[in-house]
Amino acid sequence: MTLLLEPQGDPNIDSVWTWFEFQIALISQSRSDVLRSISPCRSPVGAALRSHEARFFGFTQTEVEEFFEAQRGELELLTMFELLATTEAILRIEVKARVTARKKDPLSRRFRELARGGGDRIRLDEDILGAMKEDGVSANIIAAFRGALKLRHWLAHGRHWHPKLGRGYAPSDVFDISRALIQSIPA
Amino acid sequence: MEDQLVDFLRVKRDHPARPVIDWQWRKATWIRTVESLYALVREMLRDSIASQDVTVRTFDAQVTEDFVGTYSIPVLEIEAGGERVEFRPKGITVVGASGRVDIRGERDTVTLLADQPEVNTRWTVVLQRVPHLKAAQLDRESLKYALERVMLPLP
Repeated sequence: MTLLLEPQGDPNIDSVWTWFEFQIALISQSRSDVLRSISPCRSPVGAALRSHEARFFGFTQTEVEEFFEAQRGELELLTMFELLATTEAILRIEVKARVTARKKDPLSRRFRELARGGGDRIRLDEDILGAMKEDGVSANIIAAFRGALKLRHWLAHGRHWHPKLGRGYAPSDVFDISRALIQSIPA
Repeated sequence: MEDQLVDFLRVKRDHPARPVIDWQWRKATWIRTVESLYALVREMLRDSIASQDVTVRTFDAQVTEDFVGTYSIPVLEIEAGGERVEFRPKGITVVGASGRVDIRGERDTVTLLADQPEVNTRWTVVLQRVPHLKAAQLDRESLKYALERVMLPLP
């Protein structure tokens, strides 16, 4: 199926989190279904397996669990990437809205200066986060998000090197970091 | 309330959600099933064994499974041209089959699955899992395919 690619008008990290939880539930359900099919009282080989479960044909319980653990791991990485990308979209939409509205508050003025200087090439880290920090947004919140951007960079480039992130990340960590940043945007 | 709890657990005992499995019997049957498989493979290789193109031996290995515990079961080793291939039993608690033996060579591993929890079960060779499952009954042709896949390619 070829998807129609359209801009996301109202990006929202809560939607990403809902999607993540739903996918986790599906993985968990599928894992249970497959593990239930491990029974010493079978009839013909593979008869109880649905077509998409054929890949597990002959798997031991350990192999099944390793497979689903790997699926969950991939989902978590993808979710963290999506959370960070969505947060960037929220910030960029905020910048655009403030520039367009010609608001008079200090952050909007900073964004307008950036727009005049950089046009469409406003950088997330140095420009947007820098302006928010100058505007008084908590240095800890900015630093936490900047740290998570290293994770995003690693994910976006195919994870082909060993990342030096300084800490571990779970989806809930990235969600909290992103939400803190979004909520800290001055009105 | 206490009586109701006792009653509930007694009913659960008398009417289990799943059939109660005699794991010791299953294990003993499985070991004999594997020995029967090895006899079948030896028969398929009879001419090659007679001409000493291959040598075949068995030795015991330990397998540990949930419910069944740790037990000893024979591994069949085939040697041809200085290359070894092992038929290694993985166990009876596997998805969609009654038991599994891996054919392990220096290049790859192919899975053999027991169709029934019976000594004289038919065996299925898993040729491919994805994108679609392809399997064949174990016979001389599928054994040749399996050995070709697990052994190093001919020079």
